[in-house]
Amino acid sequence: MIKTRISVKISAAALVLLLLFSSAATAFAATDYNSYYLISDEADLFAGSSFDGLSEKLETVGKHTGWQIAVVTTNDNVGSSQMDSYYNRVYDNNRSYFESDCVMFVIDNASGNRIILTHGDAEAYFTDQRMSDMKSALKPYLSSGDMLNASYEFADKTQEFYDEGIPSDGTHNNHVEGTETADDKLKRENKLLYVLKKWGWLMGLIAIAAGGIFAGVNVGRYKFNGKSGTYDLDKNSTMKVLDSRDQFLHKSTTSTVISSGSSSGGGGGGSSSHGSSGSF
Amino acid sequence: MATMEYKCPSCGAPLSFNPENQNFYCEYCGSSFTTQQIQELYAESEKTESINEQEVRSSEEQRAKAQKSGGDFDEDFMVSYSCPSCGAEIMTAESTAATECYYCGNPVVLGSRLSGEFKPDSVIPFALTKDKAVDAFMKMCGKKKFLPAGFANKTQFEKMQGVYFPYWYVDEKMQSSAVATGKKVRHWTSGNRRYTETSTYRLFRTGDIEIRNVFEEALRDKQGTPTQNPQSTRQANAQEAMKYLDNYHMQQRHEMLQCVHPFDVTKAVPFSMSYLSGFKAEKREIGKDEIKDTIAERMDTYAKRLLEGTMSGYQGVSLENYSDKTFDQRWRYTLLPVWIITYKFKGQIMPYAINGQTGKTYGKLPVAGGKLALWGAIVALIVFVIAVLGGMLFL
Repeated sequence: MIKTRISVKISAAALVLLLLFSSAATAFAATDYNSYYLISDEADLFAGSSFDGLSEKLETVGKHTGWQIAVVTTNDNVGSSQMDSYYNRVYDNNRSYFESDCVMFVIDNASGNRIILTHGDAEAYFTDQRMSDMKSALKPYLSSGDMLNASYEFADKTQEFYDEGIPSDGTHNNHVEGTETADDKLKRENKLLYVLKKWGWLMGLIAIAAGGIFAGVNVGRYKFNGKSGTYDLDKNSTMKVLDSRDQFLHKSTTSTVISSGSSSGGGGGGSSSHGSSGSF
Repeated sequence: MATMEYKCPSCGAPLSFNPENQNFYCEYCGSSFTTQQIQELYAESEKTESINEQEVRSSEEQRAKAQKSGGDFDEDFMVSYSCPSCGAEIMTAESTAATECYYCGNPVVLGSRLSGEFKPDSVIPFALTKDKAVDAFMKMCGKKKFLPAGFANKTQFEKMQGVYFPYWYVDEKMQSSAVATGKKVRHWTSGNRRYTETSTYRLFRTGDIEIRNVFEEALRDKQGTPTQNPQSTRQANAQEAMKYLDNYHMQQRHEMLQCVHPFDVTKAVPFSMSYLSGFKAEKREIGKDEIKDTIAERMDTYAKRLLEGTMSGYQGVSLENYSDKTFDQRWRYTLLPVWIITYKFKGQIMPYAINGQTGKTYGKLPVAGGKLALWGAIVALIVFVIAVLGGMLFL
């Protein structure tokens, strides 16, 4: 985990980049983050002073736990069944902002759905029981639309879970295993090894073929060393044209309809990280 | 067999043609003689040689008879002659017209083989000396990185011969006519339709055409594998070595000679036996009758190509009719100068040809397998690293 404190207001350019690289089009408007906390208030739920206060609160908890405590509000209008995969993808696609050990409280203001996602070390602390406790604790604030205090409560409960440690008998039925495959994980962690494991055989074949072609071409060049001489007709001939007539025979015209079909392309894939979640 | 040898008028030593100065130079007394001087001196002897056609005819008759009856003609048929200098009996291939004594190195022209109907019309004299030919070869070797270590060494190429090879050159004047169809295609777009208009024309062309210097080799292809490599004991195997080299040249020459073309035939001079002194020469084995159809076919192809060249602006030109009338056809039996270097590699003797006029080279070179394999592995490694880096960037 990065211990150096970085507090950067994401610039407009960074936002554009973020939009370009994110398959889940969540714009981190009014975003503040460092390695201990992240607030992205696209839904504009927090006023200026409350935003700063919440930042301090999340940072304090983050420093205490060693995790990044994130509150993300959006207007993406994501259905409840999609909340988990959609915001896991947001997490994956914005790893330059999110840390590996992260607890993330997402409020989709357009759909009214919320979810808590955990990543890395934090996962073990958020058992099913504790996730239910978290939901119960947040419910009064969410019901009244007090998102600021819901976020404070989220931070407090997260610190509380951390202080209590990892439950010995906790279950993680709410955990949603992501679709990240072993290859995806290897690709993320060690791209060289991934390329070698996945495509090494093909690259080896190409390399051997290239070496073989190199050797073959040289053997050929040595075997037939020199250019073949050819008869130069232009240099060795003259012609005086005595008759040159072009007689028109017939003409035919054909036509074809130009198709105006348009094509569309694109599309993209995504990946999700594994972690525990609780939506409500 | 009767022989001709050219001796220095000053000291009597063997005289050879010097390609660098295009004259005759005596290596013993340093005297130089112009070709005209030597030709005048030996005019009478050359004339006498020209009368000795009988022996040439007898071998030709033997070949013709064998071909007619479907019987075998010994392609390795060797004939012997007595070296006028040392008296040794030397065997040469049946087609050899000039050579040197394997024992004393004396240049000898077997004049009777180049007399009568076998007398060449012209010869392109060697313009490249032996040293320059070796230099050209060494320069070419210097650019080859995969030659075996120590290969590019002048001592490797002691067996180097200047050889005159016989070729037929043909010039023809003709009037050719061709009728062809051609198409002009125009495209345009109107609205959502694309139109294609194809206009078909019949094209009539007639022209007076002159095609020069169409060439064809005048030596017969020989089948079979070379005889085994000559042994190292010089005296014991002198004749075997000579036979081997004659044979080997025969089998490899066609490709080599085609590839050292072109020759500048404007530099050809009327034939004189004296140009052959110091070189090996082959007499022609193929007469006009044997290749006239091949030449006619090539002339037609060239004439059609010239006429079609005037049909520019048309697509899909298709020749419907072609006819020609030959006004004049001239055949020139010409000897072309080629330096042949032979080198020994892994027990095999390999030839390499150098155009004796222009220095153009062609031939097979040995490859150092280990060196090439190492570089092949390096190339493979580089490609592999690039592929992996590319994969890391784009996957």
